[in-house]
Amino acid sequence: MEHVIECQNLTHYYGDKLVLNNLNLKVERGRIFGILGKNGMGKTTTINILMGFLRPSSGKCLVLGEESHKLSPATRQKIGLLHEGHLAYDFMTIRQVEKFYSAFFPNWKPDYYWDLIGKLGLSDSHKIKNMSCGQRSQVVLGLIFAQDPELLILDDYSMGLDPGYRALFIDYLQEYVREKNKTVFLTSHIIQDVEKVVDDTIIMGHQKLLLNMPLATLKKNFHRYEFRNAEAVRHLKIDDDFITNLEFVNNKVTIYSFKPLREIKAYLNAVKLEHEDLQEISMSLEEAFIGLTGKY
Amino acid sequence: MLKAILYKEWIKLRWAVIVIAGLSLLTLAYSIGMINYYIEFQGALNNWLYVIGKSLLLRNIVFVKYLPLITGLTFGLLQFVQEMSRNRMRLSYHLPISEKKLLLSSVGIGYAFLLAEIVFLFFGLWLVVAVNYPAEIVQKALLSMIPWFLGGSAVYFLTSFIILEPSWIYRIIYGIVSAGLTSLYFQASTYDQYRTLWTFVLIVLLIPLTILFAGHRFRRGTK
Repeated sequence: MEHVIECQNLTHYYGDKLVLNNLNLKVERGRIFGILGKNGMGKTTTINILMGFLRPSSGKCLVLGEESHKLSPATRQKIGLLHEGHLAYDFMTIRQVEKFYSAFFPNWKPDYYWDLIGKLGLSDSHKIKNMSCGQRSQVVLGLIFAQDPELLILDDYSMGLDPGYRALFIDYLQEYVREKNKTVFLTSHIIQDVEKVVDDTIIMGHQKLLLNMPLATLKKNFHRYEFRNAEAVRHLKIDDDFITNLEFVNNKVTIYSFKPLREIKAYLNAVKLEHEDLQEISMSLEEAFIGLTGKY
Repeated sequence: MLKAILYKEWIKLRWAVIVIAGLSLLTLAYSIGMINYYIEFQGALNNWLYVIGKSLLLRNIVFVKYLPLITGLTFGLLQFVQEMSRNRMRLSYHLPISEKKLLLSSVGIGYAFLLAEIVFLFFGLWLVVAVNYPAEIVQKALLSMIPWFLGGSAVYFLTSFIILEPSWIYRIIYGIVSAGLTSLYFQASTYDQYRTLWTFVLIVLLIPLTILFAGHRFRRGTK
């Protein structure tokens, strides 16, 4: 299987502070890959390394076969980047920015850009700095699509977007990516949106990878169970083999686990804990994310 | 690609290029007026003694001295503050062009505009002085102005370098050193105070290399 992104033992320090510790990940061609994590878990550091704006302390990250911090111009031509905050040349107008970028990309497809811009109902001479964040996001997405890249790296694409523009962004992205078999690596704080679009996900915890698997596998294999027992707080504790995370609210116990119901029952029997009302409660990706990373 | 970079830099600089060209014309008009005023009201003989005895010509016209500095500072700020604010330089660094080529062409284009402004002002002043004074005075007056014009170039490159530097602490240190270095170009007001113009030329030629250093630090993710 060909890997568009491959990170091996990626480790990074800011001064003495360890941010990434031996991170390994692979992104297959044609997949949409979402990276999730709470603030400060190393998401931005990983993205900065992938984008070539940070050299890792050790380990390496290959993007389209080249080390990310020394990508050749020819490889950069094949990568579309969306920077956090929908960064754009604000001093240019809609037409100027298209004219500028088109000179750098031989496969430039202006129709993608003008199609998205047409939806905004703005004149070509409208300056980007006078646009709302949502409008700017359409300009940036249009420029990336027109570039016709093999790989799209989208850093927190949902930042500052209202629900309408978020939906528009996701709709266009999905259609473009599926139709043209592109590879996408994205981060976002809006997990409900990520759930709609990604094939694979990684969830980052403190200095380590909590999970790296296809979304469908996560949804199938990661479970949430609930039962009521005031004694549970004294008998149960987080255990990587059985209990990934635990919550106690009054006498209600919530267990997050990769084990099926029958094994959890057997486990609770083994620790002699009453669990007559034990039941599995379905989860969204956001709830699974909280289950894995904890609420605090 | 170079044409596209020229297009981008022109968008950033065009108003400044026009305003500075206007200021140069005003400076030239003012210089003509001042020289005529001195000759008319001091008398040609007194003006001659003033120009020869005190080694002064165009000294009272502050703009002649500082317009190149203002131009260098303005062009550097306009070109690179927009690139560095909100890390917008990342957009440029992701373009399919080598880092060195990108930086040197951006700075080269900005400097070409600066040079055009400076050359226009310099030759304009040459004409203004040459109409009224003998060749020896013209030569001395222009030679005394060369450091100011080179100073404008140094200010442009140093401003670009400081803005492109990603660390604020380094920016402050570079700023202090640059202010000291730049002041050397503007110390003299009379003729023949500078005997070694080549030193100034050499400094101006070396500063652009520092821009590559700052750009590389940004690329590596230095904070």
